[in-house]
Amino acid sequence: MELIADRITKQYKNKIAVDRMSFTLTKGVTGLLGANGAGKTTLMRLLCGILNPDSGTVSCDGMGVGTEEYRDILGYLPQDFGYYPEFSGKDFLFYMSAVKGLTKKDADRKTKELIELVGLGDSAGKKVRTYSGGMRQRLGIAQALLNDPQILIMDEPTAGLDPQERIRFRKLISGLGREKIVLLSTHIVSDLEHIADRLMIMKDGQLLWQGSRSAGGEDLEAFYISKIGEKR
Amino acid sequence: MLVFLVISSISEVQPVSREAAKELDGRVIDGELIEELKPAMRVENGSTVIEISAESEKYVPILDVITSVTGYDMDLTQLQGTEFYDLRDQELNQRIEKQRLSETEKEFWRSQEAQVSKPFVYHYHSGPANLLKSFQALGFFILLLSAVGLSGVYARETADNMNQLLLCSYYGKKELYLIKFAAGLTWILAVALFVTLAIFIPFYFVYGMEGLGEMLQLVKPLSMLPFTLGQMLGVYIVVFLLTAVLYAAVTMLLSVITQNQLAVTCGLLGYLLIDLFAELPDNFGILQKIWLLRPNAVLMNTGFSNYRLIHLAGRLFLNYQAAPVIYTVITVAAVLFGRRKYRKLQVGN
Repeated sequence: MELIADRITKQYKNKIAVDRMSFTLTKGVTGLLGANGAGKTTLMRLLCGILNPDSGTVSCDGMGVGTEEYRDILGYLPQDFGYYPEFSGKDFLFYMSAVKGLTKKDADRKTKELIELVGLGDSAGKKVRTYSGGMRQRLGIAQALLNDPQILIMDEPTAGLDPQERIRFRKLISGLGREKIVLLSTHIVSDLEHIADRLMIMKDGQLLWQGSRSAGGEDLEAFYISKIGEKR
Repeated sequence: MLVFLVISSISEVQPVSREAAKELDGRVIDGELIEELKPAMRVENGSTVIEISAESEKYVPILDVITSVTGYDMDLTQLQGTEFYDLRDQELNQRIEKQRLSETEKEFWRSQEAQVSKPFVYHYHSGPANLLKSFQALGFFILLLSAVGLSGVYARETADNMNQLLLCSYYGKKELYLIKFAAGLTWILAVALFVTLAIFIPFYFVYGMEGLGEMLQLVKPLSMLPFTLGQMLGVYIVVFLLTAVLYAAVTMLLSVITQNQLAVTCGLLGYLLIDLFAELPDNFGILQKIWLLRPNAVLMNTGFSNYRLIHLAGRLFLNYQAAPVIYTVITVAAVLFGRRKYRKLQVGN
């Protein structure tokens, strides 16, 4: 399975948020690095089909991002996502299961399974509005995994997680990366050090560098800074 | 608000007891009956003033019928024999000329009028009569409820950032739109039925439902439609429910287009004000015809005093016939257009 972005461009008025980016993602964890405002979120939205590119295409094994088939194998965790404050965490996952097309039986099974996986077992019945930022983020991760996606796109997934949760999250992502295409963006380099198979570095809407994680050497942060600096 | 609507509808009604209004049940409205009610009339500066006493209370419903045609600006004590019906004919002819009806329209109305039996026979009809009048308020009320309750159906999730999750989900683009629409429709229909019952039930206990089979002219003497009050109520209920569906569809369409709950609510409230106060004079032929097809105009009883008809495929249609078809077409168009817009919805563009 390959997710192919071919010269995708997105411009907002005077700013080019994504500038003719081309890449191919395969199974494994790809880390998307870039400073705030580099265009990571816009790129992820383009890959999820919730934002149309001005030019270029995104496809996966011949499926366009606008198709139901593509959405069926997609899991997305946005950077800031909303929730229904009156819903409990469990209700929220049930609702998302329905929207993702899961049967009632599967929804029940996956909800229980994911609530445990993200460590929300004790608070699944509580209203989402009472959740802390980290709990909401874990709920977001759970919803992204509901449909057992083959493509998992996560925008700043570790934001709001405490150190212990970050470790648990890294383990989870490592496992998922063995079978799925996982793209996760962050501006915290250490999040990717031990889990990314590939790296993409973005700056000002452009793909500065892409390659194997091993090419980044031991000190990934230094490598990232050097690449960002090269552009200057 | 609903309680206020019910109370104000009931309190608007003439201060005639049910017993008094029933006293003249079955009497023909003719010269003899008109003579009987003359003692209750007084003329001041050329206008007729009605003095309601315990003895004359029973005549109030008859006076209502007469003054609906003549108004109060004439000396009603001089009314003789069948003069009331002559005055009615004169008024109808004047209105028909003023509205510049075509010969085919005039012919249509002549044939309808021929089916209206005269002289009118009075029967107690307070329940159905007041229900007919209350639909005007219900029309505005349902628009208000639609604006407040449904403006966020598609807009709220953009404001709450939920669209990011929904639009990239399997059912997020097509089915979710339809499901939300169905939910909105169910809600507005439930609300419409609820407010209808909230009006019907108190009216039933206060006035009863006698008079459903009586002629429409007892409430709207200037109507030329040979309908009963019950038939007209049936038409109004259908138009009201379709109005509710239409308002819901338009509200939800605006919600998809603007993705802004406040803008939709304000826009619809703005329309409500225009609807309340804007009237087009008779010389605005086609524009007036279109304006009178709006839901609140139909529910406002304008069809009883404006005789313009809709010409379509060589046939003539009443507003009461054309409006349900037009509302259904607009509703379907709103659903399809909304679906198209929803499928193209983007996040953060």
